Amino acid sequence: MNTLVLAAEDTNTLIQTEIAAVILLAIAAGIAMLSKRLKFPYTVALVIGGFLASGLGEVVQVDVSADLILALLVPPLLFEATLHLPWPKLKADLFPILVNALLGTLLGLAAIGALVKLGLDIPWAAAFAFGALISATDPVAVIAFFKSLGVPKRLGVLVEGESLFNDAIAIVAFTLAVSVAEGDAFTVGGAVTDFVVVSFGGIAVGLILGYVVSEIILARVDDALIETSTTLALAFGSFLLAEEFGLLIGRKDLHFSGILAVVAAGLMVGNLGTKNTSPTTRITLEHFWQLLSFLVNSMVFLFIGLSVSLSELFNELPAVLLAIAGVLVVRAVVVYLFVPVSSRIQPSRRISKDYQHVMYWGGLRGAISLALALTMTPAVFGQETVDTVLVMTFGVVLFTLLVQGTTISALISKLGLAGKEETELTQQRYQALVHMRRAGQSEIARMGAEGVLFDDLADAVGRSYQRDIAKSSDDLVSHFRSNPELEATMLIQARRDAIVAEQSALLEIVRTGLIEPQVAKGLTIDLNNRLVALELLDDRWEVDANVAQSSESTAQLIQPTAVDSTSRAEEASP
Amino acid sequence: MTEVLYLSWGGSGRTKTIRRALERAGELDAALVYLAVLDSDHFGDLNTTMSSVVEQELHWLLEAQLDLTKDQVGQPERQTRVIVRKGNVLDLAVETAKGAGVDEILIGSPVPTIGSLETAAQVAAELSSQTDLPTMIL
Repeated sequence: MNTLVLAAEDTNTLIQTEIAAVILLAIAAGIAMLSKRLKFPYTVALVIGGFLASGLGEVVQVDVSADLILALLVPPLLFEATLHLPWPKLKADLFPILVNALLGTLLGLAAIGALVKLGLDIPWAAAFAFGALISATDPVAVIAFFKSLGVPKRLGVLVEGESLFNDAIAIVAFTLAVSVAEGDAFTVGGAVTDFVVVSFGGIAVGLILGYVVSEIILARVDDALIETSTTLALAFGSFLLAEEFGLLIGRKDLHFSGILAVVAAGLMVGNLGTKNTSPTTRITLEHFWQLLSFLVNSMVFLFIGLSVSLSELFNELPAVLLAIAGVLVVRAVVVYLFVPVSSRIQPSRRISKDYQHVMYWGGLRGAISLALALTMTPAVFGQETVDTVLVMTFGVVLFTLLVQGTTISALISKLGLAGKEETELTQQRYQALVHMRRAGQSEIARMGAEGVLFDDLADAVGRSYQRDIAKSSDDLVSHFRSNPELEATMLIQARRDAIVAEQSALLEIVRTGLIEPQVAKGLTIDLNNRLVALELLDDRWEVDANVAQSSESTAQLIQPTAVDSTSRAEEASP
Repeated sequence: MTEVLYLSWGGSGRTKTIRRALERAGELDAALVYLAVLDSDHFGDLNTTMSSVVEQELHWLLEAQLDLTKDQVGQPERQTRVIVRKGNVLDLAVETAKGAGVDEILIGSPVPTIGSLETAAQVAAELSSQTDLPTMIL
């Protein structure tokens, strides 16, 4: 059987590469359709799909280089993730997020590194490199569940925010471990200095480039295609500029973190740049980055499946089990020890036990861990060590995807954190029916007006549509009356839509020159603040505080008598 | 005119309790004062500007919701007033109840915790004790 090789750096195999890419895309699209129909996690299905494809005679052989993964696949993944992270929400929970990301990654590096060193006797540098890479959590599969189940947004921000920062920290720590393995001298002071320079240098590059793109291009150019292309250039450009920064100033050895540059640039564009764009550009940006993220994720998760060999996994089963145990224990310490400490230090952002359970079980490993493992070369670490690290990484990623990824939704439901219940889906159905039937009625009216349908027929069909619309509207009203808790969500959504419409109207007025720029600026800030306020209310007023619904029990009246408050409380306790 | 104070400091359960609060106001033929408190635990980290915008938006949303609910319970003419304050829930409730001269306090159940007060009954008992007003758990 012919073997197709995906090796982007080899120009002689361009056609083969193209064919392999087409096959992988077709597999990804097929799996996406199937997983949607079966309501199965897409990323897990991709791994299984890739796994089956590799087991059926090596139809597609993957030969991915480190550069391909780190420079081509990782930046768009991180950039897309940061675009959707609202800074006010991230800032509100920045303390617990950073504690988890920083201390969690360092603990993982040290504890898992020591565990595999002692258990498997691999070199310290390789052990720490593994500890670092396996500490990077990947929320792709979990976030997909969060969206479909409608879990509180704060929980999504906590999981996604932690993942974003620990990805970046893990990559920096991993790079340091690799440089030590390559022969660089290691001192704790030197490592800390490197860590700080590399991290803050990367963040600075990303913030500056992100600001320039947001305030100069996105604010002044009104063309969805140009603006979207600029964000693409920014995602890769910030990575490259940070990584190769030394070349600009004649110091080849100076590198900043490209990953942190991408994260900073994405946060800047997502929170500043998109507010300077028209609704059309925002929609184009959204669709473009969704597509790119889908493609890259598909490739990475298929690579995971294609790269795994069952026999290797079984041969290294003790090492894999050791790694899985280490990952689960360290994650437990991070979540159940660090999070309560953060809550104690910052009581206003207390994280509930239920949230902690989801954060623990939702700590999946995926694309970043695998990407980093694939960059470890035999020349530096030795073939045997590289093979062991690769198999352990695959094993951990597979375990978290197949075991945790397939059970996390059950956990979310069991904890009562799934917001989108049957009532909300029914509401959406009635709303969709009203929209659809109004569209049908308009089309009939148009055809009648244009003479395509004769008047009597158009009138008759139009009346039928009117009856259907009235019925769906009545159903919607009855549904709201039976489920009044839906009103609060609908009200906030309606207000949000109205403010977005006000933003569009303001942009239109600015374009026609009816108002001065300083007036527009003030109004724009006010509208943006209102949208943020709605997010805050949605997060903290509607969900965080009182999750349970009032019972149908009879109201209780407490009279201001001489009875002491404790006994009254006991009498009236619901 | 008789006034009842409906107190809320967040939570998705309030839609049903607003309805019950309006019905209770109807029973007493009283005006309803809706006191919404942005408590320090959840909103204490906001700066002055953001805090003010959040208060305005919540005021807007609650007025809209009250209008909607008044129609739903068949009391479109019932007098209602929304007050949004930021700070300590109990202190603001007591201050508003005494200042506005209300005759009864209403709260929903269950409620978010306020310090050591974890149930609606505990909050109601504390409010009743501090204001000398009957307090109803809806």
